Amino acid sequence: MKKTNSLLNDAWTALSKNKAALISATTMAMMVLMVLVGPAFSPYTIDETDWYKIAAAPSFFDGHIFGTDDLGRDLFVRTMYGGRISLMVGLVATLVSVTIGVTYGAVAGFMGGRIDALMMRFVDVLYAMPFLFFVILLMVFFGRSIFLIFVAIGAVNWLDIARIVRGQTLNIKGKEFVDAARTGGVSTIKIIMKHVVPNLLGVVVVYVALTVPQVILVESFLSFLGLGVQEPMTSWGALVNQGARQMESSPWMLLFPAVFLATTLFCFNFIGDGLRDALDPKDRTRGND
Amino acid sequence: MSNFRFVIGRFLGAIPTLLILICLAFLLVKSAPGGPFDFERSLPEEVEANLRAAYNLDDPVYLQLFKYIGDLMQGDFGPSFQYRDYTVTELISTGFPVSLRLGVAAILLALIFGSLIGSIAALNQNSKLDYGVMFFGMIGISIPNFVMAPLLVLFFSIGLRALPAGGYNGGDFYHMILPVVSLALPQMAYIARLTRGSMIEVLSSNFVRTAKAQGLPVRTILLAHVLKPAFLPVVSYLGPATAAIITGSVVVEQIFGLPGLGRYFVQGALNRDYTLVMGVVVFYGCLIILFNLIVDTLYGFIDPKIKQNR
Amino acid sequence: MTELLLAEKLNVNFRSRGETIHAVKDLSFNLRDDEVLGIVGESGSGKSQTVLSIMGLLESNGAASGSATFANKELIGLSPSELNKIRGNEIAMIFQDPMSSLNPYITIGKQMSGVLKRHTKMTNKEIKQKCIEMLHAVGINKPEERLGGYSFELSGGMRQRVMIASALLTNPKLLIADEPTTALDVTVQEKILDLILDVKDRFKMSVIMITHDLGVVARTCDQVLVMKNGELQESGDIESIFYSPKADYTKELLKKSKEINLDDQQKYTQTQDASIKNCLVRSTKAKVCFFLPKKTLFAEENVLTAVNEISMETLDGEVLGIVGESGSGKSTLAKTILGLQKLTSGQIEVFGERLSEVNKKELKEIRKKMQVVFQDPFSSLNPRMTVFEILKEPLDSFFPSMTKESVQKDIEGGLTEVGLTPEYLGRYPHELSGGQCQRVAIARALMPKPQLLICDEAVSALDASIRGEIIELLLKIKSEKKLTMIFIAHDLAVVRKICDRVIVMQSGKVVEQGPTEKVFFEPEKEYTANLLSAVPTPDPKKEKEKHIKRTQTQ
Repeated sequence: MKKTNSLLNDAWTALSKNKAALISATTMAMMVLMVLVGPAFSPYTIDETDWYKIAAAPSFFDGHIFGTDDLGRDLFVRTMYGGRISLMVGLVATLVSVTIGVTYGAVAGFMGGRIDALMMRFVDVLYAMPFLFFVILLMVFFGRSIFLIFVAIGAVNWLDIARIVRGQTLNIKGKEFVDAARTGGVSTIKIIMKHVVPNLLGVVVVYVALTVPQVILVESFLSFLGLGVQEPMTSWGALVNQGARQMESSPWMLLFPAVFLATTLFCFNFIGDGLRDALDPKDRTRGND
Repeated sequence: MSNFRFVIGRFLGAIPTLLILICLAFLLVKSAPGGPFDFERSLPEEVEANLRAAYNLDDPVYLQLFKYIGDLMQGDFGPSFQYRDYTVTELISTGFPVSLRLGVAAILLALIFGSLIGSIAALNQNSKLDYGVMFFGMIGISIPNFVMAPLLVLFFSIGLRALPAGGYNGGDFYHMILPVVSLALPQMAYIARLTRGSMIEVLSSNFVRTAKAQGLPVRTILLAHVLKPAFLPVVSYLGPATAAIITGSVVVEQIFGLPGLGRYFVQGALNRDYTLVMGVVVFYGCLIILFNLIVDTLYGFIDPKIKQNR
Repeated sequence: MTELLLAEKLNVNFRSRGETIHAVKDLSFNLRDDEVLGIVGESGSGKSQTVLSIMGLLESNGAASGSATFANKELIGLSPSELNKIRGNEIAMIFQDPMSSLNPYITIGKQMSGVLKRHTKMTNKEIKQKCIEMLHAVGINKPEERLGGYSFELSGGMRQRVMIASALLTNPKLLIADEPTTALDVTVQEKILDLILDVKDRFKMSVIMITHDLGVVARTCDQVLVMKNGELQESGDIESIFYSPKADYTKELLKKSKEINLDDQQKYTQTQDASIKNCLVRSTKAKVCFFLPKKTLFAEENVLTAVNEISMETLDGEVLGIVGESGSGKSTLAKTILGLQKLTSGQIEVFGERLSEVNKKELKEIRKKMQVVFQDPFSSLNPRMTVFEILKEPLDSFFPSMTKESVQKDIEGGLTEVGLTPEYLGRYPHELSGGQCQRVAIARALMPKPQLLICDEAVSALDASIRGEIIELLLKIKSEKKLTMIFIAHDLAVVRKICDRVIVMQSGKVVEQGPTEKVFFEPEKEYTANLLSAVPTPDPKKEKEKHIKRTQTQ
């Protein structure tokens, strides 16, 4: 366990020196807490209409602290539920894309030679595809299930990670400690597990942090277009869309979800940047050239 | 001669990518359950016959695909599913000029201001100005344009009543300001960060130290030694930037009610207009691939290392 | 002779995280016309910062104070525009790494003409003529063609020549050379040093030569400053520094550099006796090729032959040296012997087994008897493993049935053997110094109790003082454990000190092989002789003789 400890220590020392990243991490922790327990403190539920308060402005007295939407639903509860979806999509889809990306990149890098060249050429081809459009096609044709959102978004975002991990694997493979381990009679599987993977973790951590905001962005983009999460569930993107339509009469419907979404993306970008400055071994060469 | 061969080689190299794109889109549409070619829903026989004829549905799938590619090469994207009186080609040629105008304006704005701001930040590294630029850059890349656009409308149109909140109005300058700005902002922020990073790296390189040791004044060093290597990453980002602008235009057109291709696309997607959606994906896909190709080729001419290696 | 450069109480300070670092402290020296001044010291001695402060090239967090007058003009505190009239014009500078010091994005011609455009009023045609002339003067073939080319198309030596040519364009009075040959092979170094001395005479310049290598000082300098931790230890003319040093630090430096020295006539105690020994490694016409990716679909495959039909053997108990310059294929040969690199053709037998025919299990058995120590002490240890884990790994793989207690005992014993205490067991590599890392790497190699130890440039990346210690350690272990060693190095003096037999390689082939004494004192091949004489020795008189010999034969 010492290895992971040391990596976490590295990451922690890096973050604690970077004020912006530290503040972002704290903000995010509070946000997650709020999204999880917040609705429990509200007397309202996600799809309950308050007939006396249609599109009401925020007020402390009636419990609608973020106001209500044009159907009289409590905006605070909806924003919290939307946050659950957005953050969950961010987490799960990132997990999907990191899993695909790390496996693909590590295999390509470790195999090397022609297999590597072929695999990376494939990535190059995929890079040229208008993926967001394909995701939209998928959503249109195969129904708008949340599961499909995870898979579709995850399947789109692995390319960057694959490239980075592959470069890093090539780099590690060329290091003398790998040769020393082979001379020390260590099997290939053990070399991958003990020598390659632990040294990849730093990069992976950085790219997890940088992928989460990308993924949240894609999900809210889809939801904004009405192609993502469907009623009665909601997400920040969908809320922004509804808010944008009513912004002249009830601007709070736009502002609350917009602020939550932007803050989340902002924080994750700062955390990712901070981690990258600290952990990324300045080795961001372009693809396979 | 070698330049010519280089360019031709690059273009030939893109053909498989294009084919994969078309096949992928085609097969996706083909396999869609409840799709246009799935006749489990009972359609009037006449309609079904028309469809079968129009899409050669009685042929095997690979022949249909060949036919579709053949039609595409003649600029024929087939009839629209929803707009009965229009072909997809007609819809694209009405919508695209609007989108093109929006996209070109946005990318120019992002490129010019992004690289300018980034350079200024790099030249004043670690100053208050630099930190300010970087902070706003972070905000720029963190706020998606579908959030930025309504906020801008809220402020400038509803609040200040200074700019129109939407509508195309024949591409009138005032009507284009907000759409272009909200489309350009995230890219501008990204380009500024990119420029800053690469310029700082170049400024601290050994060859800049050599130039200083040769007594060259700062202006000469910047123009002769720094500019080209510092902007190479920006050039190679132009490809992804175009893709991002195209995707962004889909929502921006939606928000501002511009009659662009992106709007047709969203309408098509919501109304399950399969042929239109497929046509737009193929069209935009080709555009992105083509633009990437141009940027790549351009890069090959600018970067001497690639130039010598090819 | 007049004073060209006079430095008085020169100080350089760096501010870093609220702390002030004194890189140069109260340094005073002077440089006369037509003189070569050497500034010598180990890394961190402030030798480079001294000249960078004079040139106004300190990093933005650095500041210089005191005085440095060049041709009666004060340089410290001069405005950039005034300074720009002097640097590149009257004072020119060349740097350690010619690859990164030349701009890879613009042509050589453009880089050179920039200097002339700045400092002269020549027409474009004259500028081009002058550039060609200078490239010719530094010995570059077809200078017209080179002007349109880029720096990355040239070899390291050629790049440094281009740097020198650019420096000479304005006919400066002073040339500052900051470790100009550190990144180059010895034969190239020799040529570049000769070139610097040659252009110094032809263009009537003074030179400041910054180096860590006393041999380079002995070869090139008239006056010497010895620096340590930013302070001047001793200054004087070359004879007094080398033959009657006063400061303790100078004496120590000289002693260290003479310990490992090519010209030493003393015979080292060598362990080999005359009896016929077993052959541990036998290579027969071994060939290793690398297939480079094709540039276009129809291009012919590029083949790089790194090891070209090499036949050699390693006898039980000997220390075999393999020497050669970069690109000679010596490290590839080592990797092939270790079974880390596949043979293209030929045969290599290790402990009587043909490497191309063994299976995984047999290879593991061979490797148990054959271990390796690599060059870079930091990259040869996994940064995410503690010293304990690093040392435990070979035991786990070769002796899986060992008890926990005996593993612990072996590891502690192994660490003590290389001169480290068990308190290092819990540390990570980044908490160790370069020398300590290399000791851990040696301990790891010794864990399975091998018979054969391959050292691939094992001391090349270390500072001179630590290098001596590690060599001593290797020799001690060798005699205690009766190890056979293959010692790969580009540093001839090290090989001379510890090897019984030597193989000289060049571009993948064996040039010469034989007993060390024979190869070093009566080399048969010209390449070997050149290689040997190219190494600068820390003895000015001998260097002068060699220089005269070289200039006469030319």
